[in-house]
Amino acid sequence: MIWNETKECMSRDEMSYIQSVRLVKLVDRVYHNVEFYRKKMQEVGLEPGDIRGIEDLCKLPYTTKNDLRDNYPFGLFAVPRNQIVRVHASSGTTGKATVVGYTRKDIETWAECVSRCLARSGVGRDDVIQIAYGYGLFTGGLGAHYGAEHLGATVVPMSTGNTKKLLTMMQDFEVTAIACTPSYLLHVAETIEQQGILDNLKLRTAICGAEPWTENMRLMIEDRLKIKAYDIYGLSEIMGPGVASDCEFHNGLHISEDHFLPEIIDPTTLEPVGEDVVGELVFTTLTKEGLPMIRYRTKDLTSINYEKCECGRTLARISRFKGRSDDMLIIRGVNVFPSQVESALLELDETKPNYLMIVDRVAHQDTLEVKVEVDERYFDDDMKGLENLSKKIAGALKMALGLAVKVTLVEPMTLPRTDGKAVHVIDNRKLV
Amino acid sequence: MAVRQVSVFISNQEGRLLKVTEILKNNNINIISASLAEAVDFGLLRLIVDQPDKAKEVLKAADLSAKLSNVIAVKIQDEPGSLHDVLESIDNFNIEYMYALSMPSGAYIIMKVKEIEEVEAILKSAGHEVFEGDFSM
Repeated sequence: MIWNETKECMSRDEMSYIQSVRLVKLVDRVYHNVEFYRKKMQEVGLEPGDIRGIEDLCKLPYTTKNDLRDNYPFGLFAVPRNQIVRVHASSGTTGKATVVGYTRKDIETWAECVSRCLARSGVGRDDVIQIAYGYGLFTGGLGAHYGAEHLGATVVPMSTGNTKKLLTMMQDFEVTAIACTPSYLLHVAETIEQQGILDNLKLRTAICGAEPWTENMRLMIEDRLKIKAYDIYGLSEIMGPGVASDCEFHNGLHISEDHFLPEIIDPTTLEPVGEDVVGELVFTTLTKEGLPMIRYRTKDLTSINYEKCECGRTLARISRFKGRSDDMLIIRGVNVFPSQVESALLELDETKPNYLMIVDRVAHQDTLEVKVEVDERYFDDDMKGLENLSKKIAGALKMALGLAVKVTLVEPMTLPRTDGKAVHVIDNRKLV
Repeated sequence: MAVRQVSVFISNQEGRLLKVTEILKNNNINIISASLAEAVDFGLLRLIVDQPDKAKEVLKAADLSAKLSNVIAVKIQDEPGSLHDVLESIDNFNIEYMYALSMPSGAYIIMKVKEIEEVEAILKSAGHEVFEGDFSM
C-alpha cells in the first residue's frame, strides 16, 4: 500500500520544484539562525540568495559528524531550546555523544516518513506490530513506535533483550509484524524453530534495519519464518529510522525525497557522481526545524537510481549499502568506531596498549572481543591485578561503547601487524 | 634483601610456555623453580633463576612482558610440622602465593607478602633461615 501517493508518486519535475522551494527556505533559515552554517557559508562567500534551487546545492559546504560533536550539545539547533520537544543521542567517536533534537513538527514528519516505510512493507492499521528496537536515547525504538502509531497499527513496545517475552506476546497478541535488527530476527527465528512454535504465529512481515545485511540474509529470514522481510534505513543525524525503505520489489530503498534531498559524492574528491555510480550518500534535510542538516556526509556507500519503480513510486532509490567510507562498525545495531576503543584505553594509561577488535557473529548475534597486549607496565606480578585490569578495561569499553565487550589480555607483539602497522579491526561476520 | 623472582605474562595457549623455556635455555639460564598461575585467557609464570637480570633482559628482547619482583625464600626441614612452624610465626600477614624450591642444600618455600622486610625480620628472629641474594646451583 502507498501511504502518501501525492508525495511518493509525483513526477520528477514536481519533486525538483518542491525540493528547490524547500531548499531555498532552508538555507535562508539556517543562515539566520545557526551561527555555524552562517560562518561556513561566509567562508566560501555564499549568501542565502545565491541558492535559488537544487541546482545550486553543490555550492554549499558539507557537514560531518565532527561538526555535531564540535557543537555539542545543542550548537547546531536552529530553533530556541524551548521549541525542542525531544532529544536523542548516539555515542560519538571520542566519548562525547552526538545529540539530535526535534520540534513537535519534526516528530510529526518523522512519524509520517516511518508510516510510509511501514505501508511500503505491507503494514497497515489492522496489524499488531512489535517494536523490538531499543527504546531510549537510540532513535530506533521511539522512531519506529511513533510511525507505527501514526499509521494506526496496534503497537507493542517490546524494546530489546527479552526474546522469551517477545515470543509469548507474539503468540498471545497474534502479532503480525515486527521491527528489529536483522541479526536479532535471525536469533528469534532460531528460538522459534527450537520451540517448534512457527505454526502458532500470525507473523507475516518484518521491517529490519539499523545494521548492514545482505539480500541473502533477507531471503533466509523470509524462508525460515515464512514471512516478507523489508529493509529500512535511517540515521539519527538526518532523523532516525525511516529515511528510506524498500518496497515489495526489493530493488533499492525509496527515499522520502520531499524531506531528505540525497546526493552521491566521491568520498575522495567530494565531487557529486552520476546515477548508479557508487559513492558516499549525502543528505540535506529539507523540512527539519530542530536540527537542519546541510549536505551531511553519512559515510555510507551506495548508489542512487531515479527511475520510476514497478511499485508506482517515483521516489529515488538507493541500492543496498556497499560499506562505509570511514571505519565505523555496526555491532548489534550500535555504531562503534575503533577510535572509541582507543580513547577508552587511553584513559587507562597515557601510553595506550596495542589492541585488536574482533567482531564476529555467533548464533546470529554480533559479538565484540577486544584483545589487549599487556606489557610490564600493566602488571606487577599479581594475578588479581591482571584480572582487575581485564575487568577495568571491559568496564571502560562498556561505558564508552554501550556494548558488552569480552576483553582478552594477550602477550605483547602477538597481535597482527601489517608492515609494522597495527591492525585494529578484524570483522569475521559473514553476512550469510 | 629477599630473593628476586622473574614474572612473565603468557597467553593461555599451547606453545607459549615452551617459548619462555626455549629462550632461557638458549641463554644458558638455569631455572631453579617455576610456578604457573592461570586465569581463563592468560597465565603468569613465576621463575627463580640463577641470573634474574639477564633473564628479564632476554625475555623482554623477545617481546615478552617480564618483570622482577622480590619474594621471600625460607628454608624448611624435611619433617612434619616444619611449614606449619614457619607460617605460625608470621600468622598476622597475608601470603599472596607460595611455591617450593629444592636445592642440594635443602628445600625452600618461596612466598609473596606485601611486607617483605618486616616478615623476613620476624622469620629470622623466630630462628628460621631466610635466603637472600640469587640462587645458583
